[in-house]
Amino acid sequence: MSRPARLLALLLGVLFVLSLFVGSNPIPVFQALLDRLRDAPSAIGIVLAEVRLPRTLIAIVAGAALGVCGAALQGFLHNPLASPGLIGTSSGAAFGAVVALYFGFAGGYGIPLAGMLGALLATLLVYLIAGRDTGMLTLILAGVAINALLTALISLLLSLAPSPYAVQEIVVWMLRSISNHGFDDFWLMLPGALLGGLLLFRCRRALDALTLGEDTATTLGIDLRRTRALLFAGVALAMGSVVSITGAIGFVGLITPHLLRPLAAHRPGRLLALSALGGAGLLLAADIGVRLLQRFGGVEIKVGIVTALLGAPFFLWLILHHRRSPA
Amino acid sequence: MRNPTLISIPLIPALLVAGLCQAAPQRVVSINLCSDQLLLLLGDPARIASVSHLARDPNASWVAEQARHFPVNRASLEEIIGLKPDLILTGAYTNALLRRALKALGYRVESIPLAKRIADIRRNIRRVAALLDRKARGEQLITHLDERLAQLREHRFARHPRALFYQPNGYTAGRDTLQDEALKLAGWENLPATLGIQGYAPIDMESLLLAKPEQFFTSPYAPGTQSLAQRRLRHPALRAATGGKPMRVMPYRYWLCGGPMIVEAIEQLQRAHP
Amino acid sequence: MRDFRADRLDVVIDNRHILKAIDLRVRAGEMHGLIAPTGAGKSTLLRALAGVRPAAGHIRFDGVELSTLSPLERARRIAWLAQSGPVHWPLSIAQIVALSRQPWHEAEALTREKTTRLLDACGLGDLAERRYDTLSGGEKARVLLARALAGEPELLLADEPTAALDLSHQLEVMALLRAHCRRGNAVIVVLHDLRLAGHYCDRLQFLKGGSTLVSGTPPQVITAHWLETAYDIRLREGRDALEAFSLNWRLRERNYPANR
Repeated sequence: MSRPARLLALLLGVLFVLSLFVGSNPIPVFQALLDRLRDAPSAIGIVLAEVRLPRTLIAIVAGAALGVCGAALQGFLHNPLASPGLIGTSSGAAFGAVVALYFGFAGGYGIPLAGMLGALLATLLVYLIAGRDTGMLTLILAGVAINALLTALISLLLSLAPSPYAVQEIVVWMLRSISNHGFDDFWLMLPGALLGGLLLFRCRRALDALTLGEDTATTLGIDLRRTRALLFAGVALAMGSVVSITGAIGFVGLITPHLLRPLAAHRPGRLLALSALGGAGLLLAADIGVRLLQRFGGVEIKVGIVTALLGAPFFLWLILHHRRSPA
Repeated sequence: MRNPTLISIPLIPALLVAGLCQAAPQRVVSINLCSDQLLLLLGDPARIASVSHLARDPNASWVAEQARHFPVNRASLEEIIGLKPDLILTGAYTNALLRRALKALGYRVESIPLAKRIADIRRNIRRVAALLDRKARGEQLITHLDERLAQLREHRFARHPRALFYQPNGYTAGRDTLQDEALKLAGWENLPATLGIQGYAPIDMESLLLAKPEQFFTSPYAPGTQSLAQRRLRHPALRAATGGKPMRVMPYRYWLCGGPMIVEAIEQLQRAHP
Repeated sequence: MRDFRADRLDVVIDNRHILKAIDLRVRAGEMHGLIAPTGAGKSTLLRALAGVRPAAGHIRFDGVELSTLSPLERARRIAWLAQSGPVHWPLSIAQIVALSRQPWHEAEALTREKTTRLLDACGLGDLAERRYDTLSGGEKARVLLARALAGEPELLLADEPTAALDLSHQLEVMALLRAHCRRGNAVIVVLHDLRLAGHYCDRLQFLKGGSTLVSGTPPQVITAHWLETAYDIRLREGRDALEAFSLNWRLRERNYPANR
């Protein structure tokens, strides 16, 4: 493990512990832990083990998946603006999950599976429209178009859905919170996220080699078709699972690789692991912020709002930065 | 539309007619589920022109069967005008723009306030009965309601376990709600009320769990449908909190709206009492 | 390796016949120059030989059909130096060069050691930790050559490695390629500069319109006739031009500056 990776892992560990201490009510965490270990049923034990722990773990897994997907896409497309949110992956996943959930086509693991399918189709669509190795503009325009289409379709479907609660949830699917998820949701999300992450990590060497362009990478022994398949499958699996449980959390997948790229010495392959750690830390920190705001400010906002508030200015800076140095 | 009085002029006769006939309306239209049910319970069937489409939903309406005999409306302005009503019953939360438009057109619009306790049910019954000129029928309903309530009050409970009405999105009924009074009459302690929750409001998951609930009651508004809000009812922590005891389902028609059917709800709650 | 040969290579792109029945052969230790006016298909030929672009015909490495080699095997034996290849992220020089060690699946320490040695040999030792995007054009070209050499390829396909370089760096690059040949490897190089080509290459092949015009040793090929045919020009003082080349040829025989 490299030094930056160790530091990020340490930071994540600290956030993890902190996260268990932050909730809408102060609870004696150690007592709760003891209750839980002794198998003594207690309210504080339940709050710790069934509310705070799954919420924390979901933030970690979702953040890690967003970070690693963002890093992989940026590396593969040689495009610092690529991220699951911008190139349609997230809205594709949300679309798939909405179809499955509200229209009763599937329950349980069917929901993340539908999310994966939606993510895959949307990403491929944007990729085909934009073509590979094209400039940032084409990719972003294709992403904007597909995102707008999918967002409209999600709203349409939710308006038509039989559940009376569906219409209110249009907003929820655009700016999702990770509150109120239990271990059932965590277990639904974990397999796809893990498997997707694993596939992406297998692209590590290929992503490094792709720094020299696709042709040179080929002469370095990289099977481009296999890499592309691994990468799209990995992103679809991870994002499909995560988004169908947490909704589209914007900007984590965009910011994280950027912040950490210098720590990975700009190597796209090495960036994957760092981005996973960083994304997990970033989302968990944002969620802790949300919970602190709820406890001391008395307002409940969605974590997607926090990440967007952090991410949008960053995105603007990125565009201005690129305008100054088009290289 | 520059001069509103121009539009109002042809309505003046209608206003006069309405004023003269105030005692006994002949074509009553209700556009809200709660007023629908009071109208169907109290009104003379010959004078009921229309009720809202929700009145026929057996899940939400206690008088769904009766509602089948009357035309239904979807509370659109044109539809209501077409029904030529001389009295329009609405709920307190019916679209304010629609109510204002109807009033501006000279219709007699009466809003039936939300019942927050059983006393409000009596008041609403009397109010609607008076509007319909069916006071005797109203008193009859109230007497019957009070008799049943008196019977239910005879039960004595050794313990008052903590319970709550828990709905999708974490909404619950605190103080000043029908559910609060119904739970108390059935021998339960209404947990959200003890936490200071007022009216129908969301409750934070952690606060809820720390208050150690013993029984959840829920009323599916649209059984068989799916949404994130509804999924939230299946949070594992909720089941863990009651030691694996499942939520009890209370049919929504008993306490969504205030009416004599509240006794059915109380009876079921009593039966659930340990 | 013993030899590398291509027989009757054809490449058709969008109904245009880019390469027509090209034959090519290099032996271990040889430097083979490809000379042609722009648009004659040199880069396409190099891409076809590298396996980046599919081509009809046969490409054999020591008698083995290239397409039967695994991608990894091929990557270990053949390196391709693209003409102004892209570098998408600002990696350090050492990291870029180390990318060519990937197919060898070796320990990181060994890669580091080999990379350092190679950078020193290429006169880039001081730049090892510099970011690629901070280099000058000439430095970038040499880094990319070092990258291609780092895999110790038995066959190096270099597409205009001297473009964008000043004279001293051109000579330095050619000397590096020569040294690579001396270690028993082969180099196929696209060159525009006839003097460099005549000076350093063992054999030259003139392409025109996608076909081989002529192939042979520099004195056989660099003649007034072939130059005029290849470039559609008329040498006003053909004899002088030839004299300039033969001067270079003599330099080559004295092995300057390959010994530097």
